[in-house]
Amino acid sequence: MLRRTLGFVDKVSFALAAVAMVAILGLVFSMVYEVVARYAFNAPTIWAYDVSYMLNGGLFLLAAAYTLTKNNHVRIDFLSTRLPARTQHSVNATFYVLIFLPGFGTATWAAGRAAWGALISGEVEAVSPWAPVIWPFHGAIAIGLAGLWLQALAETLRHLVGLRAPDTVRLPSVSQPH
Amino acid sequence: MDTILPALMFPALFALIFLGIPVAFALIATAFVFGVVAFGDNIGQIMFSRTLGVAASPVLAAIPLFIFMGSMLERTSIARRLFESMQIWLGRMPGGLAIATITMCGVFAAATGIIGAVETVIGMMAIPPMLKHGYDKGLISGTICAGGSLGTIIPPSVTVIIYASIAELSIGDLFAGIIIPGLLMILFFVGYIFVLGILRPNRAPRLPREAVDMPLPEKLRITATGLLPATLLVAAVLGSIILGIASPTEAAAVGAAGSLVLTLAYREFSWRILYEVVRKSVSISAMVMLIVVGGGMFSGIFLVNGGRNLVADVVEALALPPGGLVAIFLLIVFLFGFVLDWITIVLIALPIFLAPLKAAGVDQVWFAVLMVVVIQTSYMTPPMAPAIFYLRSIAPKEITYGHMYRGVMPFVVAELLVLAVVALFPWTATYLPTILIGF
Repeated sequence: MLRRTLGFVDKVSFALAAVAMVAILGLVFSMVYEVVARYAFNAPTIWAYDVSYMLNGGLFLLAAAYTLTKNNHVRIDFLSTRLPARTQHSVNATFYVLIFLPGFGTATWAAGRAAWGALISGEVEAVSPWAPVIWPFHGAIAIGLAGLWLQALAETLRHLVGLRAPDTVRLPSVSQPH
Repeated sequence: MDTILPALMFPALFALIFLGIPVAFALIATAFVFGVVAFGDNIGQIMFSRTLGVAASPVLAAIPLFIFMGSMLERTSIARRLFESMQIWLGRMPGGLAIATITMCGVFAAATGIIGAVETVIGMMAIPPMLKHGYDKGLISGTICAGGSLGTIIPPSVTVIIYASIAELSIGDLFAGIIIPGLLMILFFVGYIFVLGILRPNRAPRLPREAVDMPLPEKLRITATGLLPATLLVAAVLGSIILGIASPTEAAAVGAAGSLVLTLAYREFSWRILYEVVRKSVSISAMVMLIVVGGGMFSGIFLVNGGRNLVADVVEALALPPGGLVAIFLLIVFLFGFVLDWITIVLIALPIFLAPLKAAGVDQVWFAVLMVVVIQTSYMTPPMAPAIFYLRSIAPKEITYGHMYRGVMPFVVAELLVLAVVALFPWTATYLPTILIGF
């Protein structure tokens, strides 16, 4: 049951990363389009600037949870790898439960409220001549943060399992190649 | 009283980091705990604003694109082709294979140096032939570590983009600023190998004539297909930023598209590779950018929480001339470099340095270049050298830690020489930015 739930969270994180993968291709395409339009056709777009930061901001947050499933967020592990497996698990679990989940949760909550507010008010980007609505951008940020929070919760549960049976879950110090 | 809280933030951060917590999470968590004390319920909103600020930065949007470009080129045969081209022209020099490795790194690091794996790719390719031709194992280790570390100082470099975004400097200026020091560093590396090759030919032998013997048209063909495309790609990307033709983000996108075209031209493209490259790119971008987010929260909370006064007090108490201040700051960066990755160093150290440096009237571009050189030096200075740890993971057993520690030292000295040159002759960093109008 627990294993299936954790596996499902991993899948959600991968789905968010898949959106990010499309976004990075979109980022390449839109910027090249802008350069060609400006120099070859003397017709710069009014949207390229906004699209560039919105895609970047959305894509790295949407991929953050997936990066955690692969344990690819940099750790300085020359000391921690020398700790016994149980200690490593309890250190990580304690950190997540006491500090990270509540702390990151408040930021995620604030992001969610901002995105919701932007959606119902139909707020547009004030300084841009293109004036796009900002809820998709704020929504992507909120979803990315929520995804990372959820994945951090899943990692917490994994570490708690690891406390009882260290051999059944991977250690925090073991990362997979990108 | 109000300086106790900020003074505790660094020990708390380091404790979490050394316990093996991901660096980005350690930064976010420390910011949260100390932020709650100061701001209570508002902390969530403050942390979100910081996240939004990073997410909405048009400058940082160049980062995933450069990472894409690097990951793509890493998957092609470009490194092997570059190495081959350099070998046929430089192999007959004293220390020829090692010199070919360094110069190849100069181009390859520029194109892909954004990602830590450069050293791995280069090492796996260049170690076997150097061993086969009887190169000294210390020299082999030093060459790979030095070449692999060039990515920080040869533009485009992600460290420099993040630096520019925090110090609010022009990316074009910083890229232009590190060009002369970067070339100088390659020159010093090559010079050392060359002199060693003359004085101790058995440690760094020339390649035998038959190894590079081929008709001139063949040589030109290998050069035209191996060296030119990558060099042109890098020159186009850098040139358009430095000359102000395109914004860094646009130039990076053109570079990313160019890497795709190059892969197609080499007939190495497959959908599988494209998938692997975008997957890796978003993952590395998330890793880098989340540290930027966490670093922004950490330094923001530190500064408003009394850290600004704390730093000002300490600087005032030290009563150093500008040169002494720069030296102290660089020493701190060097020590941080033993344990932290370079993105984190820029994020937590630079915001603290900025105000005192401005007050002392220190040239911003000059200091940026010095700091980049120091980060690179500490990256391969024993005993805590990430460059050596990377090398260990790919080097054959017969190359020992002893070889590595001994082997990197001459290259560390070369880097310190570059540091001394830039420190004594600031124009090496500041001249090019003044004559080039960039973004």
